[in-house]
Amino acid sequence: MDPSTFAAVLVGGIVGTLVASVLALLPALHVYNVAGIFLLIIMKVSETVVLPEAAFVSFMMGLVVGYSMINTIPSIFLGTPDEAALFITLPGQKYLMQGRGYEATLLTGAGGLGGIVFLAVAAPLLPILLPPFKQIIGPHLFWFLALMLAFMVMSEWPKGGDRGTPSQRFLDAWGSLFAGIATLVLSGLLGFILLYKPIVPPKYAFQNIMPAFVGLYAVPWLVTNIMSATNVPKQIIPKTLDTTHALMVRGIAAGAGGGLIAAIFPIITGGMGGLIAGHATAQRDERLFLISQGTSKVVYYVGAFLLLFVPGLGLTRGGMAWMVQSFYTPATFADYWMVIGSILISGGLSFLMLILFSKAMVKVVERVNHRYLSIVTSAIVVAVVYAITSWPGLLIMVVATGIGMIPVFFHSRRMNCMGVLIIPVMLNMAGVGTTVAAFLGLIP
Amino acid sequence: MPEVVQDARCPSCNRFTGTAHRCPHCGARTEKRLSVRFARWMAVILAVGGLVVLWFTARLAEVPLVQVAELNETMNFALIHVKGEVTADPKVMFVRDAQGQDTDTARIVSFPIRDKTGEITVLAFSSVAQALWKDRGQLLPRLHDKIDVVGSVRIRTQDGITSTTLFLQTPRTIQLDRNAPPQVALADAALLLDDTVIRVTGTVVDRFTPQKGPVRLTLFDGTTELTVVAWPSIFDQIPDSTKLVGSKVGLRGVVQHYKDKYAQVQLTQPWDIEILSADPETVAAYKPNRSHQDAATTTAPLVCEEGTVKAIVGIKDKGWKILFHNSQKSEVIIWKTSWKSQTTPDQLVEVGKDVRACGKKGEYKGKGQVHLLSADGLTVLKQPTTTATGTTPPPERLKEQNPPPTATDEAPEAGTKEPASTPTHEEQPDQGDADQEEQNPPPSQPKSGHNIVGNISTLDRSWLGQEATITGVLKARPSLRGKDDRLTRFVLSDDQSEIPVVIETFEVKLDPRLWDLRKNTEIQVTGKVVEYRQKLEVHPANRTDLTVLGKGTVEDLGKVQTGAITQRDTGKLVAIKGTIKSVTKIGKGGLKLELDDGSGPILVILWKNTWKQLMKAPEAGDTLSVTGLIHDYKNDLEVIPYWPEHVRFATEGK
Repeated sequence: MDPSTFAAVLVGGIVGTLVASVLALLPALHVYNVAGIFLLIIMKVSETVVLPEAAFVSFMMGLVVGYSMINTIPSIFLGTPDEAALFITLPGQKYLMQGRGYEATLLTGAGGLGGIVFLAVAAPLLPILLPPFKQIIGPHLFWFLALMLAFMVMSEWPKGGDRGTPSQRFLDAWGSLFAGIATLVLSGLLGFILLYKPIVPPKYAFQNIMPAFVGLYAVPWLVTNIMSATNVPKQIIPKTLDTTHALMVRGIAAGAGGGLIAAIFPIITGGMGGLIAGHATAQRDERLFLISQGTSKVVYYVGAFLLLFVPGLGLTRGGMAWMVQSFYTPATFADYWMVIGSILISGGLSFLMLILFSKAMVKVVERVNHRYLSIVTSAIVVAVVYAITSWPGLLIMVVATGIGMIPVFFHSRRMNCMGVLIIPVMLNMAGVGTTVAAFLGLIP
Repeated sequence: MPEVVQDARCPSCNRFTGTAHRCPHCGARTEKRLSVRFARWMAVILAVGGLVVLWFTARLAEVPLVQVAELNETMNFALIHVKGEVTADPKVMFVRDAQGQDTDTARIVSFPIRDKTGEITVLAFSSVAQALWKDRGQLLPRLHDKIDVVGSVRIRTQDGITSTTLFLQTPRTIQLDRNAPPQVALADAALLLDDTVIRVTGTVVDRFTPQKGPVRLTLFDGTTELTVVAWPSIFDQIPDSTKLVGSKVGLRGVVQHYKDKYAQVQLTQPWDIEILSADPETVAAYKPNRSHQDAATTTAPLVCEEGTVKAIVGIKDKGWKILFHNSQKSEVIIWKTSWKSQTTPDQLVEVGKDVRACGKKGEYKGKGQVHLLSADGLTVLKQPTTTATGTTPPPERLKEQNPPPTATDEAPEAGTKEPASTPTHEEQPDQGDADQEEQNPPPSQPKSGHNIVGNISTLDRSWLGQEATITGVLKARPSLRGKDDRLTRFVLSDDQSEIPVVIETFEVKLDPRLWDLRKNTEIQVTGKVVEYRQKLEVHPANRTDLTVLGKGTVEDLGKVQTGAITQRDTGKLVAIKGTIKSVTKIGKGGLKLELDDGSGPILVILWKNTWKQLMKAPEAGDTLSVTGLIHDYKNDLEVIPYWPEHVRFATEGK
């Protein structure tokens, strides 16, 4: 690597990580939502200034790495996780209410750092193992997604009290299950509309799904925070983490498995991958859970983007890869190793930023009512959606918010919102997607 | 104790419950609290009602009509509507069975369409492809059909080259205005222009299947014969292809004129030919019209020529030419179609050998030729006096002093009619490349730095560092190599292989017509063979080493007045000079200038990458010299220069 390329990777990675670190602190603001804006800016700038490809790639990778590490902070301190971090929230908030939010953040971050190390160690093997693996799983994706869908629905346990008449208790228990299924079906219908007859203007089509994700995940959390805001107790900043080496290894191994599933299989998110891995390894310890979810999240986000660079694989997974491949497609091992270097730089830097920002957040949450923070973030999110996708995007966001609020208020899994992609994609793979779309009148 | 807003507390135990409708601590119901209940059902109403509104909105929304040139990276995944014309027949790839044989289930269907601004490839996969294939009579677009299609855009950038495709979601979004081809008589087909799609009817009286190249059918209607060509990939898929000879058929094909002379119809799809009936009478009435080559090879006298081999040249994929050092010697011509031996000439002799070649006498441009019909006619006289260049493989077997072949040996196979497209001595490519070699060193010292090779596949690593001359057709329009705009890349291909030709971009800028060369343009290139990223490339020294053969050459009008340019000049190169009357911004930073030299205005389009590199932005009143190609865009004539170097202000260079 020549010095100028090295400098481009270094600068791009650092800048990307720092930008993502700051953005990730804003509750409910997803990196994929703002990456579109960065791409538009880069397009404009590159018309007048020649931007090195290495800087562009490492900047985008820095965004992904930084976001996947730092978004743990709002997930735990502000209760606003994305779809890949949903599972951290319950144990994380438990830690928070015990004054151990900082520790929970660092445990998750340590898992994330483990995920970075895992990817670096696995990097030489990926170009060897993944191409044949892709060939093998290619014909089976349909039923894999169908199984995943069935698992999501069937693994949801009835929730409810044990008081009242039998019918009241039955409805109470099954209400959340019905809500889950309703969320899945409604989000699936939304997905069909967005994929077959998008109403977002063509010039912003690369962000077609973004308003739906903002509505399904970000806005409901913000609304919940605004409605039930609470001040957190005084937080403790310990000098050690309540874990062991063995626990770290187990957590990282479980998380890496879940993250890899999510990264390789289409539509499956980090949360879903983590759910599978958690079930598969029967993890119960909360510390283990936080570590594994941190790993799963990083491996999912970073690994999915990394797949774009694996020579000979030709696999595009994750929102960032789909956006970037319109502008740049890597082809050589040099590109691959360059991006691995970029991941390591960004991973190390973002963990340091995690420590720094966690300490800062401890002070913020003790002093600032995060209801106000959520209101400000809501305004930012709405502005971003409007800026990128205009009024049609806002309409999609509002409808998606309605769907995303159902699991919040009816206490079902928010993961069911992923029906927005799983259902249309799965039916497409089954060869009946166009039939359903035609039935809905979305295609002639 | 944290401070909690009252709405989030259990009305019974006053502990935090969040949005739960039953207190997790004491089990008391919390649903009486209006705000949560209200929000809950609002969410349901919003979700269901909003989805219905969105559904109606989406159903009623018109898919926007987009010009191909407007597509950019941010439009990836956009659902768009394109109107244009199909510029080539569709390619269909089929699902293969366990034995690797194509089934009747289509896997991929692709075809290019062009609107007024550019071209885009439409792709259909799996069930959509199969639906198009299954109902191909109605749904599958054909060459020159007008098409109205809705699909999802996919844009991908690799090595700085952006590829744009349109994915069909359903066959129902294709609307075709069929360009029903006219039924013409065989005699009239020859009068039509190239690329005209026609239907003809006739009886197949002969079929010729060469070792390489297209299968040729002779169609006869009682008075006129017409050659129909089909590549093996197409021909092999024709149902009952073995029953074609002797049958009256109807077919759809594209008119071509081989070497701009000999009319033929190309069959582009296997289902375009249909057997109508058996027709033995017409077959019996057919008397083969022996081609000129037949005449040359059957009636011409037998001659022998001796000399030292200077080079063995491929004549594209048609055969070989053996050149002797002594320019007075005849050339030895070998046509693959009449060559009866399995071994190729370069396996029999090598450069520097003294050989005797015996065959039928011929003549081309006043120069003698010997048409060799078999290996028996080629005899090595003695061992070479010098070492050969090493670029030609060593002979497997050398025949010593064999007697010349008899006339009987050389006669064409009984019943075999030479195809219309087989080149004869009258229709050979320009042999100027070979003639250049006439002034080379004496026979005992063949020039080691430069050899001639016709077929691209002949080039291998043994050629590295040497010069070679190859002929092929452009696989695609020229492009810049990767991000390096200093080099321009042409990919030449023949039937067997392909090779990139790389030339410095400034050489291309000196002749803008090179940049505008279209796909399938035939080119001859002389250049050094080099290795780049483990692949061979040919590097011509300058633009004069690239010769455009046959069609594809852009006419250079030279300097003309702005008002003299007409629609008929579209596609030609022109140099104009005039005063800018107006400047309008177009597209993404482009400028549309109205240039007038007093004879009438003409539009000049300067794309951003062109005018940004000028000394200043063009303004009304500036005098500008422009060299560019004439385009017709929405009935407006425009001159478009590709490079900044082709735009000059009047003050520049003074």
